[in-house]
Amino acid sequence: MSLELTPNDTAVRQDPVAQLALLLAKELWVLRDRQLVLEAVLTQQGIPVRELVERYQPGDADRQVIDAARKRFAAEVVAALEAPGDRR
Amino acid sequence: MDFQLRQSGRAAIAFLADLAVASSRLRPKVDAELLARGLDQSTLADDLDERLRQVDAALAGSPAARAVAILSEFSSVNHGRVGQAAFDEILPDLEPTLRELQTRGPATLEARLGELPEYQTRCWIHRTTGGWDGHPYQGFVHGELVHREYVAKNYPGDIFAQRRAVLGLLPRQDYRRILEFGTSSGHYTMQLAKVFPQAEIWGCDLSLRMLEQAQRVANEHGWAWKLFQVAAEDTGFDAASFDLVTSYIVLHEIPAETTRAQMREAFRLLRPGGDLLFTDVTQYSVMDKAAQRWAEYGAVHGGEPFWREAATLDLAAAARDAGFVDVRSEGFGGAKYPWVTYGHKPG
Repeated sequence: MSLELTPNDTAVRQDPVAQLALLLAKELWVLRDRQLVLEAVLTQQGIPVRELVERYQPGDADRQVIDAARKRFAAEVVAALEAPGDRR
Repeated sequence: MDFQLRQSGRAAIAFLADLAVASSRLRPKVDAELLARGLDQSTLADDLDERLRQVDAALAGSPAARAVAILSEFSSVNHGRVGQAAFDEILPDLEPTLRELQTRGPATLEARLGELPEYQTRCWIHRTTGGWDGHPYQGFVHGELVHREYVAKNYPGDIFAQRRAVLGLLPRQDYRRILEFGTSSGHYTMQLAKVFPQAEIWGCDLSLRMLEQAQRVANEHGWAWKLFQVAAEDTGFDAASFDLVTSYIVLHEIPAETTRAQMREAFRLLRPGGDLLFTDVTQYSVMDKAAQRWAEYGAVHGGEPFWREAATLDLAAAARDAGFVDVRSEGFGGAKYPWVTYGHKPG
């Protein structure tokens, strides 16, 4: 049986961005699962980390670290969408 | 076999299984779009290839069809990879047990195959990365992880209970020696051992990796299965030496002519009065055109080059041609799946 029988469908399947998005979705779920497990383990050990994290309010020092990390990440996302630097 | 996956492997397999279930819910939407475009039982092409092209053109630009394509491609490519990765995480803990289980006995495994038949190497079966034997423990990966944790959650009903239930069709309980074609990792063989505890059970398969897992399963339960890596259509076993020859979900993995050859071999191997029972996928003859199209779609993109041959082969005629009588070929228990073919060798 031939892939030529379904050319439109096959073209969609061969879109690497779509496949990469699902691969990342899988990895995201694995990390979310791990976080849930981590919270459960710590709670069993007497540290109710889920509740502690939900209610945690970052202080000034924490906020500076988080803000800087987020801005760096946002800049990396924008850079990835720009023309590659090594072509300039 | 007792084992525990690590967090990453467990979560990844569960995610793929849920993704496939969610994807299947898009299918009615795609079918509705086909109907809205005027494609129904009367307008869908009779020719299967033409129908695939017709539907493909009609669904170009359909968001639902696009989603199905993306999701099914991801599942097809990644279910094997995720299973292998999950296994590799536990291999250091599990390997001593696997080695001991394989050598403990009483089951035996003999590799008699020279070269694999061409049909077995034509593509990576089920699009399993590296091929069907592409991992040193592929039998465990497929049998214990992919089949139990992924496939079983994507097929209707209890696929393990179905393996046991079809054996209720057989007219005898006193089989002394049973031969299974396509033993794989031993899921059906287990049911044979439970339903016919007095029988000596032989199994054959083209895949050594699968048979190694079957051997572990047998040894764990104390079952003295005799396992052989041979082609079922040419076993080399003695004529008239079995009372039942049976297979489960094998026929769509082999060409129609090989199925015919396996039926002839089964007839040769059976003692007079013996029985044949082959179970496989639903025949197209009882499916409407839209359902046939989905089966074809899955075959084209899912590493199933012989599905159409199996689903359109007249299995009853093939059994009669091989010499069997009292032949029946029908959906099991009034359903369309699984599809059972029974034949009797005259006494």
